[in-house]
Amino acid sequence: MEIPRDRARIKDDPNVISPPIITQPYGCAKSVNVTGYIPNATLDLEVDGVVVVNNFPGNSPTPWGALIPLPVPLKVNQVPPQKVRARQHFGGATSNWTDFVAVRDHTVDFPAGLPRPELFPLPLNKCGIRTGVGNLIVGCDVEILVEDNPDGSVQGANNPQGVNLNTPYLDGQHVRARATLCGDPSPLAAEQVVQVAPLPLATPTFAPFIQGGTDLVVQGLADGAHFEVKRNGISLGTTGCWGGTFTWHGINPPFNPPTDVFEAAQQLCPGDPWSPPGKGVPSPCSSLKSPKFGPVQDGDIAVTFTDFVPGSEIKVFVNGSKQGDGSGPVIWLNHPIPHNATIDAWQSVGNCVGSTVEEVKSMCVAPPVSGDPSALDLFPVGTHEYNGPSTVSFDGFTYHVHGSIFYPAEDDGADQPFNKRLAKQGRVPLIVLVHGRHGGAPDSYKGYTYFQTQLACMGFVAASVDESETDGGSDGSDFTGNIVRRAELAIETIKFLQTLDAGDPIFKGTMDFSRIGLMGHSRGGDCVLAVVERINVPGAKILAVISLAPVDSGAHSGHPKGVAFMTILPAGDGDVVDNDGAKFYDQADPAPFKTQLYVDQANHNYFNRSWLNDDSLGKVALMSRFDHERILSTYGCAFFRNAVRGDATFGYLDHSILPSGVLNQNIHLSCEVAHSRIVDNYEGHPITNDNEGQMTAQNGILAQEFLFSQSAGAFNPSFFGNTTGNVLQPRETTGSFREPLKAVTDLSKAEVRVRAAEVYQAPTIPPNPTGFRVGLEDTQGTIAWADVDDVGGLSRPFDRHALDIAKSETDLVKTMLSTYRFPGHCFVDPNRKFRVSKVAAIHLGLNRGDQRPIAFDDLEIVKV
Amino acid sequence: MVNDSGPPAQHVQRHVEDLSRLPDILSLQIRRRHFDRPRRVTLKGMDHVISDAIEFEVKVTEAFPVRALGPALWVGNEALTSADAEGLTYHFFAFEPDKLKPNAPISLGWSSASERRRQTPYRFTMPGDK
Repeated sequence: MEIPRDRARIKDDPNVISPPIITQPYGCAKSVNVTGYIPNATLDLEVDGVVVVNNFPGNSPTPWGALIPLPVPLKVNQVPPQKVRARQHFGGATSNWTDFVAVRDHTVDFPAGLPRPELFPLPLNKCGIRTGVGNLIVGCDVEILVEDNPDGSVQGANNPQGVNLNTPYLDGQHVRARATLCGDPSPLAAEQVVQVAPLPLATPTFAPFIQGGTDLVVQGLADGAHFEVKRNGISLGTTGCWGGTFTWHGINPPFNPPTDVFEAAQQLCPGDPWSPPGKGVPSPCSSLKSPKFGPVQDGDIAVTFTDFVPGSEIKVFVNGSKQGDGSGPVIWLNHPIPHNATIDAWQSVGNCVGSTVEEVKSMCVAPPVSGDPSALDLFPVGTHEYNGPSTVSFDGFTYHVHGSIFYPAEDDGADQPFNKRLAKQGRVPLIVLVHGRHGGAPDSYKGYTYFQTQLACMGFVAASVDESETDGGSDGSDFTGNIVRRAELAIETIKFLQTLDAGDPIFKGTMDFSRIGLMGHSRGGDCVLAVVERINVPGAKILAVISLAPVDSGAHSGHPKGVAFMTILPAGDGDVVDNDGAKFYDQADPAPFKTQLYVDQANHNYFNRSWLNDDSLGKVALMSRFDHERILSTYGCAFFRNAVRGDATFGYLDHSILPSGVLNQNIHLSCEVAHSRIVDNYEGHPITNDNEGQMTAQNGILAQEFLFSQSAGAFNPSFFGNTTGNVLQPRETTGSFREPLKAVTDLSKAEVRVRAAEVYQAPTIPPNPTGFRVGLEDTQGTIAWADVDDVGGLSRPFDRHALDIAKSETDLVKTMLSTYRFPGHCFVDPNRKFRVSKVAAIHLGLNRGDQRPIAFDDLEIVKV
Repeated sequence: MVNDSGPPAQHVQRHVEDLSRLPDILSLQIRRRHFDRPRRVTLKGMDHVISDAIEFEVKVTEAFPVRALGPALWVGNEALTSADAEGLTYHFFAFEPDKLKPNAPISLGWSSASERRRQTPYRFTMPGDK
């Protein structure tokens, strides 16, 4: 919430400034990247206790921070590794040093070689004089190759890094890039062909800029163009850029409305007409808004800003006391954020000081948005269209063994050699994708190329099985039998891939069949679970299964076991309207975990690029196709990386971290891990007992067990899972359901997790949310409460009435449970009597006074 | 310094097609069916080999759309989802005839109880019964 600065009880202390942030350094790096400092601060850099750079001029920290050249490259393989830290000086104050950051060996983090550089933005234009290169390790060397010849380079590069060209691009040239660290070359960037930009070039524009500022952001620039900026008709100079936007730093004197007028025009080839000039004027200082926070949760040692003025200084106050001073998007704090703190942020640009501050309360659980698990870009991608040597037959139906394989290769393109350096590290895991049945889409197996590409980029072999021959006629009309045959075709494909691994010129010795992941969509989502139960192929072991919008045909037991399991359920599914995967999640064993994503504003088809129609009939609010794909990409990659390869991506699967670039607000996640302590799952005993054999108690509520399924024993028809749960109905304004623990428990380093949902009661969804709270009762009888609103809030039912009316006039709005995490530190007793180390009982409490029932299941304790 | 460019273009135009539409029924015949070559039937993941079934031969005005769910003939609340298709003729099979209730109404629909159904004028009578 933005409030006037004088209403926030904050006090500036110029002596408190943040330590900056160091990007992970690697051995042999010739430079170090530092971010998060105050604009125009000076920076010190220390290596192994020696200040190697003193008072480095930081200038503007946006957008990519300071790149500090080192007098001597960082050492590799030193034992113990070198340690680097930094600090900033500003206005007579000196920050604390950052924590020590150990120098890492890139061959440990990237044993098959450096990440693959990425040229951007695209396309590259004729006459371009500068090109951007991303996906680099800071401090590496990077060079641009035109027709295989060097045409520009940077030693000790930033990430990303602009590279000026020795010779401007010519039409049709082939351009690549290569990074090198410790003499170790990366794979070449994907080849780009220089194009002729259509004329006239677009008129550049300016991002809003503020009185008193000195950084001017010019937008709409063609890739590789040069452009001129004028101030009040006087040229400030001409510069080249790699395109997109360009931040012109250090304009002096600072912006001064209303008389200041800036113009920018761009040109690519000499002799071409210049673009029309874009004009911009600075806004008055009074228009400077407060910066906007990302999620802020208890214990955070840094805060992230999602919206701020480039080049601004941001001061951060915690409970009125200044704890940070730096620049966005991430500012380090001097102390962790305490429980239930008030956080204020105050922004200034040059000599313009904001008149408002942004004020938020820290939440007990507000996961940070950090990283993209689908963006691990290490290898070129080869593609291979496979055809088995013979057909296979099941139940009298005959199929070709056909599909596509995407794999880490020496270079991009069809049938390229497998990546030799990766192959030397050993066989790589295999992911097999199985599409569903969709009319008029003979190329359904090509619909996941985006996902296959991402998996191959990070080192998986990703095969997509062409099951289109199963779709039609008697085969497709035979529901369960069809899905069994789909599974058998997928198994035959795995057998065929084994033959490729045994002797194919590309794939010999490359695939690890003891680490297989499966992803199936629609009928394919049901089929992959049948594969798990039917496969009997020597050497083949399935470790993980994604079931995306699956049907439930009875082709398998309905009880996934022995695999990590994920299901993705589109809330606006207009084909598999029952979200059948919820049943599979409920019945799955967490081996070692299971997770469910119930996704608002998603339909059935938009995860497959070959499936063009909107099955939600245009009747529900819907994400773009791109946003559908982002969900499968990020969560799917996090899932397979963790479950099949052991990468540290599990945080995305229990929502202790959120992936960036995803509409996470639409995702309602359930998660259960093996070996959690199940306090009550409401199975196999009456409501009067919990799983630990303790007597439960009800106070001010009515607790009853119901089937959470489409059956006669359900609380109402809005439950589509396959489990039993507990519905609490209020009898008084406040009440609780008490579940004693068998033994006194220390929850200081543990979480209470419970699945819960607002019960949908037809025909309408109330306009306002409801909620619940969890209480911990210690051995003295003191209860400390934590509210669901403090851990993210109780999800609302997804409104699909319009779709249901259009399709079948059956109300299919669902009560779909999500998992809520309540860390032990959330439970605070205002009288300070509560002892989290001696918990004797857990309470599920209703206190909204709105008479709305809440559904619960899987009350657990998980160590963290 | 230069920033990244904007996000990819968003899909803006939706192609809408209702794949749950149902054909009209033209005729229905119920008979006992013996499979000379026993048929594999899977129930809850377990394969069974079955030689005899009740067959419902249904002629319809148009083919069922191809989608994730399969065509179903509902006999009362029992869905028959195993079918052979020959053009506009569908042969639905009941492998557990004891579950079919005499005089139950017959409707066309999908392999989900939540989907729409189209009632037919027919009711179930066990072949051979009068």
